[in-house]
Amino acid sequence: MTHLLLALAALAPSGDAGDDLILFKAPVQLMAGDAELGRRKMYPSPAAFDVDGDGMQDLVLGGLSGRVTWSRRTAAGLGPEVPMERTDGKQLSFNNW
Amino acid sequence: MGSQFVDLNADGHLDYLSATFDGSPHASWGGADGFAEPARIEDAAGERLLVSYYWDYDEDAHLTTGRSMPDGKPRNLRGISAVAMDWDGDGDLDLLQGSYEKGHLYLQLNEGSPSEPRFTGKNVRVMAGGVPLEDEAKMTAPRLVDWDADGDLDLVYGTFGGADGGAGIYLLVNQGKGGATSFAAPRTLLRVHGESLPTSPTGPAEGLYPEVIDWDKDGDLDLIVGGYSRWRAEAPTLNDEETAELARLRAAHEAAEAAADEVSKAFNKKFNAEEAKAKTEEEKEAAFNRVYGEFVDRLDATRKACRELQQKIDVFDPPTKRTPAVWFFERA
Repeated sequence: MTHLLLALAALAPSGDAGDDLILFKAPVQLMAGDAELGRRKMYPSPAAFDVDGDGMQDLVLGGLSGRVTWSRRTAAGLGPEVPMERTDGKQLSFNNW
Repeated sequence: MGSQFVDLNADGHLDYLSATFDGSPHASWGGADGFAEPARIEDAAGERLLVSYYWDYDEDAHLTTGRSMPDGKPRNLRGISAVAMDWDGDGDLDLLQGSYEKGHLYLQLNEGSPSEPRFTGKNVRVMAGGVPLEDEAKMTAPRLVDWDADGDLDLVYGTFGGADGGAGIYLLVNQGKGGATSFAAPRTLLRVHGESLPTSPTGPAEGLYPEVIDWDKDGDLDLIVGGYSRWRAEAPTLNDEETAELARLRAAHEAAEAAADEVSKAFNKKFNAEEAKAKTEEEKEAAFNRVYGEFVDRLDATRKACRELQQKIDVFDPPTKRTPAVWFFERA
């Protein structure tokens, strides 16, 4: 495990109590169908949201380009990453410069 | 860009709030049929919300303004994330903007109503533990979540990565009373530090964008984190013949790069000379097309030669890779 989970008080933001690291288990990479989730994004940013209204929190992915995709969550896992559509059928995309 | 699904205008439909590197928050207004085309959020005066540094679409340039800063002075601080919460407990949603540079948070109060927000246009620096929040590792995006299950919203944010190469995810517990918000000093949820390169992606090492959710439904909050891994495939052990071949490839690659540079310089020299003679933008464009057409085959050929040699080198000496992905961190 080369990505160490460290509480580094000296490097922490201003005001950090420093010694109260809350631990998580080793990370598991999420797959979207057969593909790696977020692999085609620059700076993928996930947000949980029930896109299709089925009661399951899906994952919506933003990124540097502003173009939004999502992956449907089912009991079997996450489905393929697809463009998130606006009401006019175009891909939801936030302006970047 | 971060993302928040929140009913910004109290119409009963969740809206999609985000901000991008253009420096301003945007909303994709939600309705019965889904989300509309995103639009920039404006303050009560009709000005776009921002921190200070922003992309001006009319000027086609990055500019700074002090009009929303607490001291009125422009600073190189670009708001690239936004979340909405009822900061002061008055029943409407106020806005928090996070800056990429320095990792500040700025509050803009809503002096309108839940259904007709009127943001003041004036940013107030958010404090954490009695001091202004600042993070030299640059803030990716804040998220709001009731981390300690006490009925109010706490804030979690990630960082891109500091000078030491480490990045993290931090928690600001809301200690406010009576509906008002007051954040405690940051607590470290996660620190990642790629001290040595693994031979495959093992986790995010920079650009940490967090989501906080009980993903495995076991009753505690987990993290879903987008970010970049740094890794390097295992290098093969080379015999003498392969070592010699690698040296030959490196020499050939160096020569190919020199040749590509020569072609590129010749192209620039000729184009600059032709461009200097052009009097109009159309003539400049025509000059570019003419010179580019003359050089394109040589430019492509030299670049291709470099690329192919590099691919052969990479077999013997794998390069460091930086790949994006999304990771699940289960709470221990």
